Amino acid sequence: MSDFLFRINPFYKFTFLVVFATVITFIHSFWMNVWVFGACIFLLLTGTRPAQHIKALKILIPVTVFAVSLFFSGLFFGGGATGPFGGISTASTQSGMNMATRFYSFVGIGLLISLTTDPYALVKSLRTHAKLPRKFAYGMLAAIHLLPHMKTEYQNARLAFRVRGVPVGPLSLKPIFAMLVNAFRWSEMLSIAMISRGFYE
Amino acid sequence: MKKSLWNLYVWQLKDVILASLIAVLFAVVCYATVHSVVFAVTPLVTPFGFGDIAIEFVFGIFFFSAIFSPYIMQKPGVATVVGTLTGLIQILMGSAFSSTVLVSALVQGLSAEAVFAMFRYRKFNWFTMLLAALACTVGSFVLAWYRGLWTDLDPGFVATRFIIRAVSALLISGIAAKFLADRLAKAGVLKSYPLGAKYKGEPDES
Amino acid sequence: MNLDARGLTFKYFENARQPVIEDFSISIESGKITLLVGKSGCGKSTLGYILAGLYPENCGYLTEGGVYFGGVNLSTFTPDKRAACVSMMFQNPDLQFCMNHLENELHFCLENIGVPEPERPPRIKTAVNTLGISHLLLRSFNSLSGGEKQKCALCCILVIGAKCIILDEAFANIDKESAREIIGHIKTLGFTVLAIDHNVALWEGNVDRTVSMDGTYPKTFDFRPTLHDTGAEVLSVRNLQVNGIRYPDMVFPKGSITAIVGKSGSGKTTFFRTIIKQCKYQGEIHFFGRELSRWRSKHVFAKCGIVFQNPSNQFLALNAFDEVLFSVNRWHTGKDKATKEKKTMELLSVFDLERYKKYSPYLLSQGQQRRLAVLTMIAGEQELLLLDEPTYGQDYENIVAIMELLLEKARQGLTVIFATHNETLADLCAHQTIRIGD
Repeated sequence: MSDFLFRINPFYKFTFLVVFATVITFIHSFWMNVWVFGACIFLLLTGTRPAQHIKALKILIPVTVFAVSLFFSGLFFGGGATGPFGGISTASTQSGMNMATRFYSFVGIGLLISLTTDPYALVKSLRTHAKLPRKFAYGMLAAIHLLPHMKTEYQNARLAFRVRGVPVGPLSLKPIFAMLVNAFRWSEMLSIAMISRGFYE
Repeated sequence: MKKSLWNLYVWQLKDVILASLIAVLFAVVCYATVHSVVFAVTPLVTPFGFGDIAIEFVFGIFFFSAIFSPYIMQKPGVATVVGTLTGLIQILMGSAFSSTVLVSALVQGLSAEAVFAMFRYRKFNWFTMLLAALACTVGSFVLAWYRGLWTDLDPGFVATRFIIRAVSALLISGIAAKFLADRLAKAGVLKSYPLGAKYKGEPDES
Repeated sequence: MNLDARGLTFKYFENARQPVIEDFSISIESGKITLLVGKSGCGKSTLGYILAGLYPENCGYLTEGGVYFGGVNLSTFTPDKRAACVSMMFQNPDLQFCMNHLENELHFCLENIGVPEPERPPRIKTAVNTLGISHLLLRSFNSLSGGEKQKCALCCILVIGAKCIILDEAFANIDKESAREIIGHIKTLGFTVLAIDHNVALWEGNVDRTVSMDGTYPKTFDFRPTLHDTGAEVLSVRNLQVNGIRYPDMVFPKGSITAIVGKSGSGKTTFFRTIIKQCKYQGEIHFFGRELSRWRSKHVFAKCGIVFQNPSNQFLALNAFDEVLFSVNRWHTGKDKATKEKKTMELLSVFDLERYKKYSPYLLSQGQQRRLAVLTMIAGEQELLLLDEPTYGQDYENIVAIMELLLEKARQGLTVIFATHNETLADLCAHQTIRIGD
């Protein structure tokens, strides 16, 4: 057990994985899907720490629910089948298997990205290797570091509306509106604060 | 005069932070949506083969940030940058859609960008907004169709999916996005952005 | 070197009728601490931003005058050179850092002013040791208290080497002890300081000169209301423990005003969240005759209103009038439209907000937003009102206006609990003061 995946240059690792995910978009093969997913899992098991393995399992739960649904879509509507009650065949079963495994192959790559990428290291590496302008590098980091603050304020906004007797559903626009107001205020205050510390492009 | 030209195309630090904050916010919203649909709806309809179609009803959420932000900032690159960032942050958060979300986000950002560029970033009305929502639908759908092996599926099934996705996109990322942005402008929050420029100054004191 | 402003006239919009600052001059003497006072909304913060060179570069128009540092016009400096002369400390400690922890933030600051990487660690070490905060270097900003964050902000200014600091209400949201400590550091390090602060008492003994922007000076706090008698118990707390914080036993009688004081992070906000059923708790909370856990949130919200620290989160409408009208509508469903509108105007006039009835709530100043939020809660028939830092960012007149309104409502039977850093206020206006987190 080691953590060699963390020690690879974040920019090269990230670029490679994104290019790889794009390339396999164009290759339609059941066995390639299986091999890609297998290889990713192997890399995860050998290249990351147990904490990451647990996180991977947590992500794989909703992934599996979705993959099963993909299999049924293929089974009932693929390979010539036209619905749950018409024409399930070997071809449509194969179609379902293809779709489900294909999804897993993308998930494998995604797990490698999400579990071994530290936003701070990635942006720093983008600065040196991809000549990302300072403005973008530090602007993005500033926003990402507000994520926890954003979560609590979002909950506060939902609570504030409920206290005022306004029901808020899971996708209600009102708390999102309040958060956008905050986003505008925060972006102005943060940029002023950064400029007062000598930020210069 | 110089100041307003400067604002037109150059990204200032506060624009970058705002774009990233919007990306973070909608990454959280998308993440929450995907997970609630996958856990609450997908298992119920999976036995009928409709499990993976369930997400189409809220698919407009994925395009929201890429259409909403350029409408406010009205400068080149906003749709692409915000769209891609939304995807990147989702994958870093560990979204169930994993790496598919990243390439899709780039394609969606570019599709919206193409529509706004077609109007030279000058015209932002209902037509542009709805067209951008449709462009995102087509872009993301062609990619998913090819990548997700839907070529193999029943054409009627695929066509139904497309229609649901298009309606969802028009409602959520077209109409709701414009509604929300206009309301923000009226609330005077967007004073320093092109969309809110006409609400500058004090309201009439009558 | 002195920092001089000569004949400043500034407006936020090109076509604004009235400039925010008109023909104002001030000289801030080298190595001295100057305190800037004046009523809320007279343009103190704006002046601070202009003196730091942040306006008009980032917002607004300076139609006349200029700012000179040691005789050189500040507008000829690039932001990195300017930061080495004048820097600023802001009101909200959460929104000043772009990095995850202090060490990275200090690297960012040094990178800004062009210090090459190998030279940075010794400078960082000197700065943190001077302020005695080397233990904060690698701690995430999200885990720091407001006071600790402001110390980090001072550290950034120190590492950049700015000679002059402008403090814009930098201590409004942190406890007195931390504020005093930071003032002590500023004094011993010999900075040239312009402090904008409503709380003059905090600076007592350290100020060399006080300048007023509009000719008014803050009065010493002499608001001494006569407190009325209170009724039977409506809320009581025994053996309460939330998220590892232990609270003293408390009893809140009907019509009483209670001040809750304590350091930032000692659990004042958590206590309020617990009362409105947002936190799991151990112990007993007796809420209007029944254990709190047996109440449904919806019914708790009908009994109990709350004004949050960030009032803009609870606004619903596009102008101040509709904002209050919304609450009036919720509570006076039976009445006709004219009565409700009259009631709304009456409420707005309590805080001198009628002039702003057509203004978007988001365009009001922080102090006005807080007063508007108080109104939206007072409009109802709630029997208990919780306020988190209601006087934060308010000047003397407004603090008095808020407290008079609360006292009047309390006389009519409203039970009020407010959290504050202002202990003078707590002593004078509350039936009881409860200190938590000791």
